[in-house]
Amino acid sequence: MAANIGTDSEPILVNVRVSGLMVDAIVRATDEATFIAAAKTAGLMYQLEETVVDVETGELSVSLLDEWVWADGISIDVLGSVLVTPATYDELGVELTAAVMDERYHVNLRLMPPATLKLNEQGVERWKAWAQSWSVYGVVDAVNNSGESALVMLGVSLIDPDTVSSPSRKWL
Amino acid sequence: MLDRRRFLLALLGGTSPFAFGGFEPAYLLDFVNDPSGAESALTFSRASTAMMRNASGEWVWAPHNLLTWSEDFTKSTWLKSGVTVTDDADGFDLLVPASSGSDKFVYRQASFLVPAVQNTVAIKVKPSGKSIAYLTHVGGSPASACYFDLVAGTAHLGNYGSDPFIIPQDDGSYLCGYTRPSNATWYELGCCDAVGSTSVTVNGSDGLLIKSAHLYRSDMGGMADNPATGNSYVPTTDAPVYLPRIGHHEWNGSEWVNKGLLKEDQATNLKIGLTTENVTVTSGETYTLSVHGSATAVLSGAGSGTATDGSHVTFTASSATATITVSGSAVDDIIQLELGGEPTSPIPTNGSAVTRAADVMTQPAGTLPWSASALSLFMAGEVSGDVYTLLSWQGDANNRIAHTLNTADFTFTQAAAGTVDSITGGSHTSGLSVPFAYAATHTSTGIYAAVNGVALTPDETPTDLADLTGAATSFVPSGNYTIAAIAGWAVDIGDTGRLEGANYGS
Repeated sequence: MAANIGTDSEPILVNVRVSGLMVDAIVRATDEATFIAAAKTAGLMYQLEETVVDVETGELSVSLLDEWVWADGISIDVLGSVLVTPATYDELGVELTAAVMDERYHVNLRLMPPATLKLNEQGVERWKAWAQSWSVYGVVDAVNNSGESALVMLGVSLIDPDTVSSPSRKWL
Repeated sequence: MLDRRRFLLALLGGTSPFAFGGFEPAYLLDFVNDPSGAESALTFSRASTAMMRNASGEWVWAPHNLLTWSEDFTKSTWLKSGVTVTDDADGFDLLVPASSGSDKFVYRQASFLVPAVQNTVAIKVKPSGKSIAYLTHVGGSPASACYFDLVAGTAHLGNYGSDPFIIPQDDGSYLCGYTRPSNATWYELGCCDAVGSTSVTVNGSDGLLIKSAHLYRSDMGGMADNPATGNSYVPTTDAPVYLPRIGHHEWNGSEWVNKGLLKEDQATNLKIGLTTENVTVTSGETYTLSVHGSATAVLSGAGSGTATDGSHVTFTASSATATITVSGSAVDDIIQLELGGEPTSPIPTNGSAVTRAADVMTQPAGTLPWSASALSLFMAGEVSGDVYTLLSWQGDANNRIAHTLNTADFTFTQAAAGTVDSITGGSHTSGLSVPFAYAATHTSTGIYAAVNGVALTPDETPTDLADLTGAATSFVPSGNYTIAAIAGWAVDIGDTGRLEGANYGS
């Protein structure tokens, strides 16, 4: 696994890449809805709210809107399906064999402050909490591409970045 | 050029060029004339490196530093091998070997280096009993070790060639470093007795003073200097830092002109190299093919056209495969295929698609000047495309101020307790780098604005101005721009002031 968020004596290995408060995660979900649901659970997204004034009493009340947004400091790069085996062509450019795609929903996540500073109710950094959850409760993803290793939970695989030999996409 | 003349004349007259209507702004980001001041006043983030054009027209990396805790070697991020590190004076830390022998150094991992591209690592070093330092990386091939004589002021190659440099600094230290392509992920700074050997003898107090570690991508045209430091150094604390692209230049037909801040949305270059390639695209989506350098890229399949430097091709994909046939390419050329209707700054690739993160300028609550009765806001720059939010100052959906660019005009909105008022006007013709300037005033009884030299018909129906003192403000959250300046006042700058703002740059 790529990072140790514990100590040398009590390591907690997680499938993310870390430099201080900058964290990269490579994830793969069954589909977009599954990914979004997991992102909400992990606290990566929050629900917008609005303040409403009662015109008669002047009292303020806050209500939640049916709109979720990514927390500040989170960059999302949605790859969607990824190419597993390229198509082949003859010398005239005519396709000989079709490309093989992994149609699952792939996303690169990059977290920076303030996202990496946010704490959960137990006072633990949220990103560490969900990264550790995947390590503790995730099961080995049986369907991987080219030597990857991943742990899956909530329908989302957290892929060990050290095992991705040929990434489809990277951050600049 | 007009802006520069106006700037100098205003200074000679004792006022700033942004004293519209005679009111000095309480908040100013003058990206063209005061890059250092603008950088320090701007809250900015971008989650990746990015490129900008310097005054010579070269594409260079925006200032950045991949080494966390660049000023504090006592942090656990900096691992210690046979040395102690303690705080010292003037921002330096004192590195002292704890025992005699070899390999006495501080070392750390740099996790977000791009493999196989040229990087520069540098650190300020000053003798404190010991006068030889060495800097090296491990984990890559070839490894590199360079020695620095801090008395003679000379840099020496170690076992491997590494283009070392040693540059005297005003504080009596030397900036020591080297530049080379590397796959390294670990870096070491050590103390030794003689050039060519890492061996050191100790007395418990002699060592080196160290400060300002930095590591940055330096291929292509190198990296732009940090406006705040005037050199390559970008201070960091707990995360790598990617600075805004201030000092971006564009060609006006006769010279490279400083356009201020380059701000772009997130973008991905789907073209993974310089060879002919079939790129998978989504039928029905709009893409742009562009070239930076001498290459020619001919598009077929999902679209058609020929792209060269300065001449891009925008197309709506008619099938799922865009074939890009490349000729005449040189090593540092970039062929870029990206979603959207306009080309953005270069995104070098090498074997995979690469994504440049968005420039984000969310200002914390309390940044902009506030008045419950009236406040004024100004922005000037150039925009590519349309239907963007220019400014969003929002407590929630019912309490906000928003400035938006539409397909052909501008809208200025304020909402208080759910009552929404707005004015729309001015003119805009969508295209690449279209100039704009506006000034708007929001009061508890009206909205007033002037755009591109023309005053809009005000809306004087509002009865309240929402209290936004606790709300963050987002500058240009969507779209691709160069921004010359942004300013704010806690007063109504008046019709004259708004027109002066709306004529900025003309």
